[in-house]
Amino acid sequence: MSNPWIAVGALALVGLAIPLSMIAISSLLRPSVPEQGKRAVYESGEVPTGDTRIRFNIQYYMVALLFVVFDVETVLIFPWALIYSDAVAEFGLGPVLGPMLVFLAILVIGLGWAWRTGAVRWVKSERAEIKTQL
Amino acid sequence: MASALTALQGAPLPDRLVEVLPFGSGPLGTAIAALVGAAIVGSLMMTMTAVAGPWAKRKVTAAFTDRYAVNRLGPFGLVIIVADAVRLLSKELIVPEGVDRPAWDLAPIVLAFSALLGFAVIPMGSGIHLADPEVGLVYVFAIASIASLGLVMAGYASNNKFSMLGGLRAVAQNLAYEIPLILIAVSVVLFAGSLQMSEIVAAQAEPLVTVAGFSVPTWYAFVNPFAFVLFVIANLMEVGRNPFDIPEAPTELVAGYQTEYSSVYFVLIYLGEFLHIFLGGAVIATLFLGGPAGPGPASIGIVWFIAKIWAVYLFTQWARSALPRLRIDQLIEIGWKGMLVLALANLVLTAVIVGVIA
Amino acid sequence: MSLEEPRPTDVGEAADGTVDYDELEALLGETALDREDHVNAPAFVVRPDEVQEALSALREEAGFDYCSNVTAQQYEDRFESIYHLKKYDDPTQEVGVVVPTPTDDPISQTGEPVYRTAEWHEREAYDLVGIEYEGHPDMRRILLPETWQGHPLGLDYNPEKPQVVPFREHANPLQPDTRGEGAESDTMFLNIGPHHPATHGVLHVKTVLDGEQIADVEPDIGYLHRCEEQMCQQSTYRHQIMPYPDRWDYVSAGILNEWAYARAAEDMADIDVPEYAQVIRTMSAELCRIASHMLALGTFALDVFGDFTAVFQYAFRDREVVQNILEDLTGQRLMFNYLRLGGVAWDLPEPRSEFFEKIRDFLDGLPEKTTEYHNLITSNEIFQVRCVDTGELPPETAKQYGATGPVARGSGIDFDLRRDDPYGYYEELDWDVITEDGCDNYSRVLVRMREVEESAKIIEQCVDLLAEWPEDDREIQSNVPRTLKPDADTEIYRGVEAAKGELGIYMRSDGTDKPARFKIRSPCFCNLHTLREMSEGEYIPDLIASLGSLDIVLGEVDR
Repeated sequence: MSNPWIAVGALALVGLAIPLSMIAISSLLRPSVPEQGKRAVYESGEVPTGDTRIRFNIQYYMVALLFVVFDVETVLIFPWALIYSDAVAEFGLGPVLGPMLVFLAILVIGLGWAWRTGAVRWVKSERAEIKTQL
Repeated sequence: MASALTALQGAPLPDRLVEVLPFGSGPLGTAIAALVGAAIVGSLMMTMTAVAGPWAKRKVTAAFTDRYAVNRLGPFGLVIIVADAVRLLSKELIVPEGVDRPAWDLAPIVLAFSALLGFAVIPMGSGIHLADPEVGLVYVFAIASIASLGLVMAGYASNNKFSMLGGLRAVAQNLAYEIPLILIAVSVVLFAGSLQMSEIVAAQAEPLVTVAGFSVPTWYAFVNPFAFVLFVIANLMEVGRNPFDIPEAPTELVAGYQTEYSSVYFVLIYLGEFLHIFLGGAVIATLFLGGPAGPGPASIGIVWFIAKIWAVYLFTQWARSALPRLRIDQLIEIGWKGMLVLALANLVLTAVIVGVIA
Repeated sequence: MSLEEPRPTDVGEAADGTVDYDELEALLGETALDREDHVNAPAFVVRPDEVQEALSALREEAGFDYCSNVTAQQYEDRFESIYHLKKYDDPTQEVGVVVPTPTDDPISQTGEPVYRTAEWHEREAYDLVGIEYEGHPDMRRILLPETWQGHPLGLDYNPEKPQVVPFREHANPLQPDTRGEGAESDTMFLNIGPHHPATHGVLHVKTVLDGEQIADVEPDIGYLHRCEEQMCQQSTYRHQIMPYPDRWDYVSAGILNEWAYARAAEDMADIDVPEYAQVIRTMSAELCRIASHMLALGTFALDVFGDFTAVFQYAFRDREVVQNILEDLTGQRLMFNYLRLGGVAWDLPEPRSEFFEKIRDFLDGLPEKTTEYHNLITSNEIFQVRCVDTGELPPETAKQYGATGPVARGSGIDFDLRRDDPYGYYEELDWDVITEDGCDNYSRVLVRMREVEESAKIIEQCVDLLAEWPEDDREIQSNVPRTLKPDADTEIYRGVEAAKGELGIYMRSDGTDKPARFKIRSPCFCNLHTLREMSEGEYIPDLIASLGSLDIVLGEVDR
């Protein structure tokens, strides 16, 4: 059996060739009538106010941080899952499952703590909240 | 069943193409065989997308809403596919002011490319299986999540506020589904004991129970329906279809991250979306529905496989017609306080059960 | 305020539930300079610098908690603003407050601190007539562009004068706009509309976002202003005005709108309507209400669901049946023009039994369809998560903003002109006013869905009545003079319960066959004013849902 990544690489080439050839075909077919008016950025037919790329209030910032932690830890579970059946057959249930349960318990405690401290949610905008109380 | 198994576990497509094609088994022959195989898989997927996008989506939605949809061009209106392709490709490409040029141009390509690349490791039956690396499952998740990058690129580069909001929502959505999705997949790995796609499919071939001479295979959808339901939901979030089409949200953000795209770029984004739905369907079919398995000889496996993918596709279209859209903050809550907890519970339960049985 | 407790009688309220205007005059004391008699109710003349004093006395002491309309107009010698006040508990108790201001110095005290709804009404008065309101928080034009010169309903307006309207960006009200490197802004000013999938027409919502949340929102209207009031002022009472109401709320509420004009004009000129015609009016108006509520349901589902989904098409399928019935009756599907002063245009279509059969078929199928809607929409958990407790509008706030119709009833305000200020044949029929106490988007949807059932009850009774009506007695039109010329300076304000709420008409005659002032009190205009209260601090999707739940039609908002 040859190296499977050759075939994956071949599909990558095909996957690039298809969009690029479509772009090429389209550029042969399509008209080009440059005009300032139609290049305006769409904002419901109005002239945009201010910049698009602002200091945007990312209300899920804490969730994103948690995500990084959890994502790395799911990677650690994969090798364990892979050898799980064989390992249980060899060493018995306790020594194989136990440590992973401890690991998962730590994760769950972490999640529970984050949940309680309110990190796992969409953080409300103070500016908007104050307005509603007025 | 035994002969079917051998055919399923047969060598990947390029290896057999090497035998057929007259280029020998040297580096050149291998490369050409790989390219031919990739072209076969690529064109198969492109054909399905072409049917799904301009035609099937309209027909299905119309059926849900008591309408006819396309029925003028050709039998069942099928020629609309050609007409739509020509129409969309021949539209003027309008580049809005202030777009971040390389990123803006790359985003549609990234979207289409990442979805297509995922199919490399999917065993589709009838010998159509491009590559079978040992880390097939991880590869699929790794490749599929590149699409989120494409969405953010499109959203940020467009210099449009609706696109920007859509791109940022795409990130938030990604945070919500990614971990549950992978954790549920891990529970499948616990059963199969392998990350190789062909092994996972083969592990589902054993009969689970036999009722009146009719044997029910050990498809993981039957073995662990709980994980199956969770995975289908998480997958729906990943492909961003209703009720999770939050980054696009036509009534709120006009078209979200793709608002500023026209002509061929729009086609590519659209194509990427559909390829992504099909990739999601392919992963579901492989992990939970026995891949290409089904009644009849193994040589018609591809028929079963495509039927399963389309079943998932039809499910997404049904959800599109019937379900309201969630709000992004609610999605975060569901992802972290519902799906993640359930996925962890599923993982522990599966580990205990598999351990006890083994 | 509990609705169950017997209400203590307010100052100026007689024991039989009518208003004792002498007592009210005593309450106002020095503030009331004079008393004018309008056809609907007397009005007190108040000095322009004592408006708030008079209004708050009437509101706090006499219980007039509903400012239904503010009409502004210019006479040869003065400007005048009229506040039409009512009570939510009993809208037959009315009173007007007339504020004259001199032509050379048209400045009047604002009524906004007493009734929030006056904010938009006064802006409109400033915009179209030219009266300025002192102390108003936001004295800008509302319908016309801000650069417009002159006031179109003022007497010295020159319509020939060219106007320049620049196409400029709008200002972020919270922070100065900055661009490029070192931009300091962290709020995003986003124009939602006028060209947006979810604004139900050409509405422009200026929103300021902080993240996904709405930090500031302001509806900007006027894109569909078609001078409906001026057009009516240039048309004769008898025939020429009636086609216009169809064009206000143009989504199948036509006959309801026509009735608003018919009622006002008939009361003004003292025209009787035969009972048979009243029944036909009631039936056709309720058919319009069903069609209108179906559309509201469909578009709201569209806003929450996202795509053109099954719900939208189902609602349209059922609306289509109603449209067909209305087409059989009126010959039209959009602009019915069916009502006439003193009756209706023509009798029911022959063969009558076939027509009744068609309506009965529709009514028989309706419960099943309602169940289908409940299964598909209101019982869906995602729908409930999205709609329950979003877009909240407490009853007191709703009253401040003069909200009416399903918006008010969704906030638990038991107010329906069909019952409280009866007209047509409603009094004789057996039906209920629907209220929901949730005050949220979900309640407003439920109110509309349940009102469809009530309308079906009304129609059923009307059909039974019409089917049995003796053939010699089918009088569709009373005797109305060919030319109507109400006495000079007759003034009237009359409202009916249209699909969206109280649609009122103020008319003043100058002795000719055309009204000197024709003012439309649009329910959508007032309901839309509540959007700010509902949406600030909520998320973008909730803003869209709240906007959908208000069920506005821009044709009626902008007129």
